Order: sequence, then structure tokens, then C-alpha cells
Amino acid sequence: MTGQGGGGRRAAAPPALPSIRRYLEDVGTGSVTCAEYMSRIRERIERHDGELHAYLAVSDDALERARGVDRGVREGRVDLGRCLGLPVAVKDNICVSSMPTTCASRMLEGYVPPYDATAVSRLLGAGAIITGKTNMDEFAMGLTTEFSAFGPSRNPWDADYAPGGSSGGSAVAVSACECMAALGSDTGGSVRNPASFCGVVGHKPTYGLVSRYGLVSYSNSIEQIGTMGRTVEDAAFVLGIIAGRDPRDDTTIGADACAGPGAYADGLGGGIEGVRVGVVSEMVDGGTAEPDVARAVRRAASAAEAAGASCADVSLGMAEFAVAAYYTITSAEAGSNLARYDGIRYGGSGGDTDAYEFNAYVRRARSLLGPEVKRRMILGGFVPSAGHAGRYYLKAVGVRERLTRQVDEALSRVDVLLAPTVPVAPFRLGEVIDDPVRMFAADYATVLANLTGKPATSVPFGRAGGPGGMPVGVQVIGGAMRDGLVLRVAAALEAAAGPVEAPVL
Amino acid sequence: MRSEEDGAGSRDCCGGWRCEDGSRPVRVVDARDLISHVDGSGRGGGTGSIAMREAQRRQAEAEAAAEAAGRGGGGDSGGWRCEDGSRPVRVVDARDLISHVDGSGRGRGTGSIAMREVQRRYAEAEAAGRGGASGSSDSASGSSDSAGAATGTGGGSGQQGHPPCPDALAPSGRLGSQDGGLDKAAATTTTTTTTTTAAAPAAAGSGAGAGEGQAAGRSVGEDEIRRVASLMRIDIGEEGGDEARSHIDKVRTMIGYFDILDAAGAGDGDGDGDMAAAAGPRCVQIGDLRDDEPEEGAAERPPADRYARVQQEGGTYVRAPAMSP
Repeated sequence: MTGQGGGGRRAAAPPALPSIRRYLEDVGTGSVTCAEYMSRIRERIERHDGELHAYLAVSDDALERARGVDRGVREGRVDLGRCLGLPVAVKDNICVSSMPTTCASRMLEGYVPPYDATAVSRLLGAGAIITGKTNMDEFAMGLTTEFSAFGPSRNPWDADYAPGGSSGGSAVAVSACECMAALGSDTGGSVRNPASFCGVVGHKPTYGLVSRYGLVSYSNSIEQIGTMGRTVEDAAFVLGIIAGRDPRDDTTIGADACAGPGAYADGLGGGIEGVRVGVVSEMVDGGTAEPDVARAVRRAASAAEAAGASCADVSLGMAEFAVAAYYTITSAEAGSNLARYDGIRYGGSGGDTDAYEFNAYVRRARSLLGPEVKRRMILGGFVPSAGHAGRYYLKAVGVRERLTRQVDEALSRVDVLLAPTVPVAPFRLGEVIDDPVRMFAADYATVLANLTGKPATSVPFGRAGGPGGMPVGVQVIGGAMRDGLVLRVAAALEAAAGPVEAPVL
Repeated sequence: MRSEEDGAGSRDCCGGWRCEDGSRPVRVVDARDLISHVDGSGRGGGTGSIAMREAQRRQAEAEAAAEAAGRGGGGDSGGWRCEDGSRPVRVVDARDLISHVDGSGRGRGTGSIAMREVQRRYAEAEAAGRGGASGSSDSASGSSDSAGAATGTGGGSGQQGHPPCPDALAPSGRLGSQDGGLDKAAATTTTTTTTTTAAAPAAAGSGAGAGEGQAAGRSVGEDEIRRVASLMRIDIGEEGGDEARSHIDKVRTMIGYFDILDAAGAGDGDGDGDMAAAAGPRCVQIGDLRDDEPEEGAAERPPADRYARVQQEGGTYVRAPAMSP
């Protein structure tokens, strides 16, 4: 697979699109119209997405909607919403009523949901425009997008490299300036991992802060919709739009007090003077992280200290079992969730529907699922089953409980934790796809926040091997409902890392 | 951790064994063992006499208990037996096991812990002279963790062994290597072989250990994966084909990786308060539930109408498949 994309390391330059703040000023004052921005984005998609494959579907009417926003601005309408036509890409496992939602699977090919996810309806309600649906690993199971049934996305920094996953398409779209911001879903790091690989910012919110209504279920007790942007402020802005309680999702929590359009973005400039930062030693030292990644975390800690924070090492002994616990729990939940795809109630049939015995029919329908999904379903049938639950599932639940207690205890001594986002630098397409354990390893640092329900932000912090290398991200993890603080620390690190860069395409 | 809840004192007094019902377990000691100890020590006969009497008393007690339970005096639990004849459970403190690990590399620690534990049990069983062949409950309950993990270097006789816990599989969480890269050795695909090792006596005598413990003490075989796949109505390809081989190898590798959960000290799922609380339903008083916030207009819209809307807006219809007669 390598080489097909005509890869090669690309130079860095300021992004071709401005920040959301600048976009809102431009469109609000009419100095640059929404349609002009949208045209620029469409042009980039047409020119580059053949290679990068960030999108699975592109909106037909985005430009027309943008013109409508411009008309509204000219007419001085006040109901345009806070986003003023902001072009946002949406991962293909989040329902948008006017576009296909396939989860990058043949099983749902051609499916157009009759409703919007709450996160999407809030964005639309605030005046955003959905640019399209982005590529991903099938049903969000993977971390390279290579498990997409429609072909992998490619890293804009070097097309021979994986963009990370499972929200790889969203990260590519943001990094390649094919949208202003994007939504992803984060079950085990699926927002932060591709953000780290593609050199953008990804935020996984506190569990329950963002409604999962309209997110195609994979692992309900863990997954969250997250935001991606080229800057921390961009990711925080979108989070402010989509966060908050939703009567359609009973797991959402009463975040109304802190949520709101500017709730997260407006607090970023407060600095981190006096903030206590704990560096998770298990994830940095002892060879768990590649040297370049470990150095990036240590430099980030130094930068935090320079900005007025205090840093200390923190030990989380249970972290070493987190990946196994994560895969055990998510497989069990996936096995249950994906069992609905039987070709009768959900999903395609896999061919003609006549003259099949029931089980054979369902088996035929499930042949539409990809290999990784099949394996996770088999695992999901196995680990919680009678005779094995005590050995796998219940132990994993126990690890999750203990890990949560350990993290809570650590967060009573420090305000935020600092760790690598991914312990390794980006890898090439095809490099780990046949090696499940190496893929597990890449989740080592991210699953912590998912298992414990904590918020976490990945922010770019240097390059592997120095300038010209692939991007490396560091991760800030905070206490539940302290998304604002996490983003504020990430913003401080972003400022210390230097100007925001994007690949020259 | 169980040992913390139980208290070290009570644990020590029974050498780590504990009855399922909480009653005091009784050590089944062969009087001849004590005699030989006394003789060997070269100490006076006084002590020997006391020990002798005590041994005889215990032996008689044990025999009576065994008779009452309708079984022989088999030392299926390393000599320990519950007063009521029920199956004793070994209370193992994870820290005890961890202390066996040498400080050199946590990546290899899991295997060492398990191996040493199995060897210890094997020696215990041999010393007791009762063999693991009849030692069912010992292997089934106590060793589900360690024997399973130990089969990184072997497996239970007559059953498939655990997939070798490749280093990686065992990262004891250590997923990387000292040189900074991912430990590629960790990626070794595991194909389980059935070999007899020190774990054999424990695993072999699993007659009474059916169920959870037994299942835990062996690896996941191809047949089992195929059975689960079949239950899930997933076709993994023809037997012996490349697709099937790939699926089975990867599933086994993944399940093998999960074996590191054994070292987490998170209990075995039986009676662990943490897990019971975590896995069970949350209890919320009715008064603490929040009020319903129904979707606007949902009450007025009949369900059939909503369903029809979904069907039509999807643009396609689904035909029910032909059913078996």
C-alpha cells in the first residue's frame, strides 16, 4: 500500500484557512464571504481529496447554503446563529439527515438516516454548514482508517503514512484545510490519535458532556463525540456549540452551567499560573514511549513550568492493564451493538433475499462486515460468555474501576495529567494492520481517558526526529467536567510549541 | 484486593486457604510427615510426642470429615479441607506473586510469576503425595490465573494450553521496549501447542473443576472460536483457508493479550465487591430520578407513523427472508 499515494514529506506553512475566530470576523463584517470560504474549501477538496481521501461524501448544497448566509449577513438578520455558516466536516458514524451515513462499512452503504444527531442539529441550529462525511475505520474499529471498506485516508504530511484513526478522515480534512473544524468520535482515542498523527488538535470531552444521540453505537459506556480543529480555540469553540444535556441521551449530564457557545473558547487566555501538572511516568519513562515522543512530553512539561505551572511525576500503576481492559469491554459492547446488523432490521442483505433459511440469511448479510469488525464481534461473543466472563470481562470491569479510583486520586493531587497522545510516531500505511498487538500498543495512552470518562485534549508539540519529521502530539487529561481547564492547559502548550502549521499540499 | 479485606492474620493462619462459606479450613496433615520432621530435627521426644498427638488428632479429624463428605482423604487442595467439606478457595495476595518477579523487566514478569506459582503448587502436590490427578478443585479455582498465564511455556495436559503470553502479550503493560520502539517481539503470533509441563498435574486433574475455572485454565482453541463465530452468525471462511487462519490467529492473539488482566489483581469475578458493583445495575431511588423530558410532539405522533416515516425516508424497504419450515 505504501507509495500509492505518491508520498513524500511535505513542507510546513501557515494553514490555508484562518482560525474560526478570524473566519467569524470576516464573514460577520462581510470582508470575506461565507461563499468564498466554501468555494475555497470545495476547491481544495476537489484538488486534494482524490489522494487524501478524507471524505466519503461531500455536501451538494453547501455552497448554496453559504450564499444564504451571506444574504442574511447583508440583510442584517439576527437569526444566522453564532457559526455564520462555519464549514464543519462530520465523521461518517454521526447521523446527518441529508447525507449517507455508512460508518465506512458495506453493511450500511447507501443508508441515509432520517434524522440528525444532536451534535449535528446543534451545529446546524447555530448556523454551521456540514461540508461532508469523513472517512473512518469501519464502525470506528481501528486506528489507521485502513479498515475503511472504501479505502484508507492518507496523512497530509506524507501520503505514505497513516493518518491515525478511527476518525482519520476528520483529522485529514482539518489538517489539509478541507474544512474549518470537524467532529469525530473517541472510543479509545479515535479523535486524539489522528489529531496527533496529522498535527491538529483533538478534544475528547468528559463522558456525558456531549450527546451520543445519532452516533452509531460501538461501545456505549465509553465513546464520546469529540471535536477537532487546527487550534485549541477552534476545537473549544465547536465543543461549546455541541455540549450540554440532551433529553434524547440519558447519559448526558447537567453541563448547562458550563456549556454554551463561548464557554470553552473564551476561557483559554486565562493562563496556567499555579496549575499543578502531573506527568504520567508509566507513559513516558521505561521505554513505553519512543524517545522522540517521550522528549516531546518532557519538553511540554518544561513549557508548562515556564508558563507558571508546577510539574511533578505521577504514577498510575493500573495504566498498564488499561488497554486489555479497554479491548475486553469494548469488544463485549460491540458484539452486542453490532448484532443488530442482520439485514432485516438494520443493514444490507448481502444480495437477494429469497430462499434463505434464517441463520443463513443473517450470516450472508453479515458477510458485508469487514474483517476487523468480524473479529471484534467474535471477541465480543467470547469474553463475556459463560465460562469466560470471570477471566476476561469481569476482570476488565474491575481494572476499569481501580483505574478510575487511581486517576481520581492522582487528580486530587494535581489538576491535570500530561502524557503522550500516542507512544509512537506516525507509522506507514500497512505497517501495523496485520499486527493486532502493535495496534493495541498505540492506544496505550489514550484509553485511560476513555475508561475513566475524563476529558482529554491532544495538542501538537514538535516533530518526531526534529523539523521535517512527522507530527507528535501530547495529551492533557483532567478531572470530569473540567474540560475548560484541560483546554486551557492545551492552549498554553500550543502557544509554547510555536506557530500553528499545516502541510503544503 | 481480597487479602486486604480479609485481613492478613486470618489469611496467614490457614496458609492462604479459605473456605467458600467463610468457615475455618482444616489442614489435613499426614502424621508421618510430622514424625519425620521431628526425627529429622534431632530434638527431644517431648516435642515429638506433642506433635504426634496433634497429628494423630488432626488425622482422625480429617478422616472423619472426609468420610462425612463421602470422599477419600485426597489432598485436592494441598492438604486443606473445609470443616463442612466444601471446596476451599486459595486466597492469594497479588503482592505475594509480584514479589516473585525479578526486577529485570516487567515484560517478562508475568511468565515468571505464573511459572513459579505453578511449580510451587506442583511441588506442594507432590510433597503431599496425593497428586494432582485427583486434585480437581485446586487447579480449577486457585490456578485459573497462574496456570493459565504460565502456559506461555506450556499447557495443561489433555487440554489445549494457553497461548503463550508473548512478551507482548504481556506487556505487563509494557508495550514498548527500552530502545524506544514498539516491541516487535510482542507481536509474535501465538499458535498454541499442547505440551506437558509443570502445570500438568494441576490442569490434568480438573475433574471437579468444570466451569469457570476450567475454562479459564486453557486456551481458546480454533473450534471454540469457530463455535462463537457460528453463534454470532459470522462466516470466517473455510476451515484451513487463509481467511479463516488469519481470523483465528488474530482472535487468539487478541485473547492471549487479554491474559495480562490476570496480573492486575482485579479478582476472579467471584465475590469481588469492585466488580459486582461495577458490573451490576446502579441502584437509584425512584425519588432521585429526574423527570421525563419527552421529545416535543412525540406524544401526539403514533408509533406506526414514526416507523413509516423512518422506512420511507430511508428510501428502501426490507423484505423479510424466507424462514425455515
